[in-house]
Amino acid sequence: MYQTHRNICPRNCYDTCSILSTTRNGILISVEGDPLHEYTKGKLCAKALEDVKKVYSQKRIRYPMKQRGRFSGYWERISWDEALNLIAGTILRLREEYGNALPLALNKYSGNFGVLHNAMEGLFSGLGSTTRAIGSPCWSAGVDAQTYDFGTFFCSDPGDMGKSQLIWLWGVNPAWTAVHQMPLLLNAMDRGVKVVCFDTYFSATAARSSHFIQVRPGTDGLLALGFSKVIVEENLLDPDLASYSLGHEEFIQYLRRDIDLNHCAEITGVPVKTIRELAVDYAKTHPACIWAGFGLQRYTNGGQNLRAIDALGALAGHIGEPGGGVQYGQFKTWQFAGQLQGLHPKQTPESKGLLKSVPQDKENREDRLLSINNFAEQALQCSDPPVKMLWISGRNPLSQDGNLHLWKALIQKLDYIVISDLFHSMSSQAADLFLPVTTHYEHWDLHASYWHYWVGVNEPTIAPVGESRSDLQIAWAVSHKLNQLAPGSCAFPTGGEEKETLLKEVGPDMLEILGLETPEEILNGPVRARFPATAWENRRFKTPSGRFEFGSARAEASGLPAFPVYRPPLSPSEEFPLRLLTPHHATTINSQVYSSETEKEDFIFHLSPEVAERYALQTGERVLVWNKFGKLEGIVQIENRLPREAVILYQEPVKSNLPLNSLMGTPNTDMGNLSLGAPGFALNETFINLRKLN
Amino acid sequence: MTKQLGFLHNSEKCVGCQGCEMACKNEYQTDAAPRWRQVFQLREEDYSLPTRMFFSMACNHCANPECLRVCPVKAYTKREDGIVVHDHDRCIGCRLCLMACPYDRPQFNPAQKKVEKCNLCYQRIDKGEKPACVAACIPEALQLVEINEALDQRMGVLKTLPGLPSPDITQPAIRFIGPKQGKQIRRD
Repeated sequence: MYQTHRNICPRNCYDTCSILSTTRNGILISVEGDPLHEYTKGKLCAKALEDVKKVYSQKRIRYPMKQRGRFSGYWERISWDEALNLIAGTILRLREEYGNALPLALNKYSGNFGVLHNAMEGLFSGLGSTTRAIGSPCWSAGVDAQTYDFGTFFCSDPGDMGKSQLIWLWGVNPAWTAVHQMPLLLNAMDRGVKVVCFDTYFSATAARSSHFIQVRPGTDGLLALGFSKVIVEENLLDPDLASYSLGHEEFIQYLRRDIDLNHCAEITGVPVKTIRELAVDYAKTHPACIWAGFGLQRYTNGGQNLRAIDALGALAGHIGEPGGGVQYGQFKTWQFAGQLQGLHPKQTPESKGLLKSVPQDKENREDRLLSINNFAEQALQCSDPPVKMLWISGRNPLSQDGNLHLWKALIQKLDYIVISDLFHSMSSQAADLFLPVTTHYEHWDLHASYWHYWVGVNEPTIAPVGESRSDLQIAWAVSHKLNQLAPGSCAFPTGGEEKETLLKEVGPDMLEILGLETPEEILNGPVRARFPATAWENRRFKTPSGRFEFGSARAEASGLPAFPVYRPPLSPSEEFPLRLLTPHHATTINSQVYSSETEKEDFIFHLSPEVAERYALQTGERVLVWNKFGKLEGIVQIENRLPREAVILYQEPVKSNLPLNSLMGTPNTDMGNLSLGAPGFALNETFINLRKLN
Repeated sequence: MTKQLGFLHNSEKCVGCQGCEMACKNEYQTDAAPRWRQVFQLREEDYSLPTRMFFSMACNHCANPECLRVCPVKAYTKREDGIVVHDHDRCIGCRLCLMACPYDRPQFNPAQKKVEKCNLCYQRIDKGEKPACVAACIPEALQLVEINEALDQRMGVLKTLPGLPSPDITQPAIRFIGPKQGKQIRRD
């Protein structure tokens, strides 16, 4: 018997697709896109189309397992009861020993972005004040940049780009990371709309754009300032600027005084003539849209880069213009009630800290907050009390963090490490206990996107595979066990119904933005939030001044420049003269790998002919790549149109015991504290050396 | 034969996402190794063009299918609409078809010791649906078409791409729209 269910792809991805899954006699047999979803239009990417194999993969962990000795690989199947006893016993012992719950740490991020996965935060809140990873490895600097400029972080409906007469793709590669935006871009080009792609390397999107402009890594902000300078010189400023912006005169003065186009061309690598032509085109074409990607803000000057791009959009009058704007992302559709995390009902969505992974309800708790990007380093410094137990959920820090040697040191100091995941990972090798979790075909959930405006429910399609449980069920079970062993020891609920819990997350705020009467209506299919398609259409901003802020007192108060001025990225040294860039690949999302057929035997270092010549390397030769953090071996591939000062290593699936992050430290971005509580990961500021291996 | 169904692939629109490959695998839940449909990157040396251009190829349902000609057990048949169907039950896994096909499209499954390939989703076509790969293609780079004179006379439609075997051998039911080059501003 065939049955169809609605699911939502839970991955950390722009597209957050709605899925229809088909079962035969309770077995998942295929997945397809849900045509009700107007953004993803009934189509899925290669990653989601691998889902049936993923759900039933032989590699999937189906039972709770305990490891006899970390990194030993001797895993032993145990019962859930034993697993829960081990966890609850450790929690109670540590809390008694130290007199509080701070030795208990949670490190969770985006393995599954479903709202019910916030049960893990809820469980930890129920234990008292605990230690938490906060912030984001991904987008923090850009979120803050837009928050300084616009007051909050919001983008137009992605379909709004269809009205543009000129589209600038700035450091974004939708062909590989947001493929549902590609039809709109291709159709725009068919209509004669120019699509200009700015990137450090020749991406799959660049190859399909009308123009590709190669920008030297980390200089995007300066390029934007160069464009702005031309707009000032050519007198192409938006005549209405004074009515909706703050500080534009000072900013214009700065451009006149401090920005020199020859210098700009020299630093960015874009010729003066091109800067002039593009700037004039951008200022004269209405509407014109910029889509800024995440890569350009993963630098020590990342926030400044995006602030400069925002300012360019404003000077030319594109902010608030239908089909215009500077698009980055949004969180306005994530107005879930936050009940799972135990939030105070009177808190507003912003004070609820929905942007932050650990919303603080200061009335009851004061958690110890460690930056997710410097977690191991900061956890090692915790002494009163030390961190003793770590729960890793929806994360693979031993693959994805920097300074991995600090993780190794931290692991030695921890009494107990629990990981909940679908598969073994580099991080699970360090764990004492592995809890098998359900996929999105096996639990209820609720999802919003950080790009489009759709919100939808994920229904369970099949029974949990093996003895896997959802994060919510795990959190309930742990609380139940704790309260069994020590009544009153955990305030998190000890049981319930997933569907009811989900419906409670659809509170009044969410009902209002979705235009629904009752939470149950969301069960009928994905719903688009009823926002106007164009962000900042009325040009009333959420900044303290209510204007677009070229000059931001809030930025200045945080020790940052008030204006979007140029700050150079880090420079290579003699010892490590090459920058390492690690863009996303079409077949992976961070360490989540889907397409097993494409797994590479070796790391592939993509080099420009100039770099290859400097090191006397040929395609196919083996190289050692190293810096002070670690080393990796791999194969050279020479390609035209790569940067001259960088090596590219895609985040491709590789059969290796070492992650590519062996080469990463933990440089921080300039911004991130305001919205996310911690700066971002400036991972594009990684420098290496290389030599041929015989 | 009155009709020949086939594929039209547009390299200008294809982003190399492998959605078509995976849609095929999702539809038939094939093992990991056999790839009925496969995305290939165009070789840079064949064009004065950028890399990162792709084409996607499954069985080409040739007008003169060599697989059908060499198969000793008549596992291959050609339907009235031109689809070359491989009968998995008849196949003895001798792999003569692998040697005969200029495009390497019949795929040997080592676990089953048999050959398998794209049957152009004839069951879906008989229901009036598009093949799974075509239905799944997000940028609409892959289309199901009728191969005929009118198509071949359309501007920009190519019978082959550099690096592929001559279409004269088997008259494959695939056509291409070749990539075009954008303007590039690079530092060199």
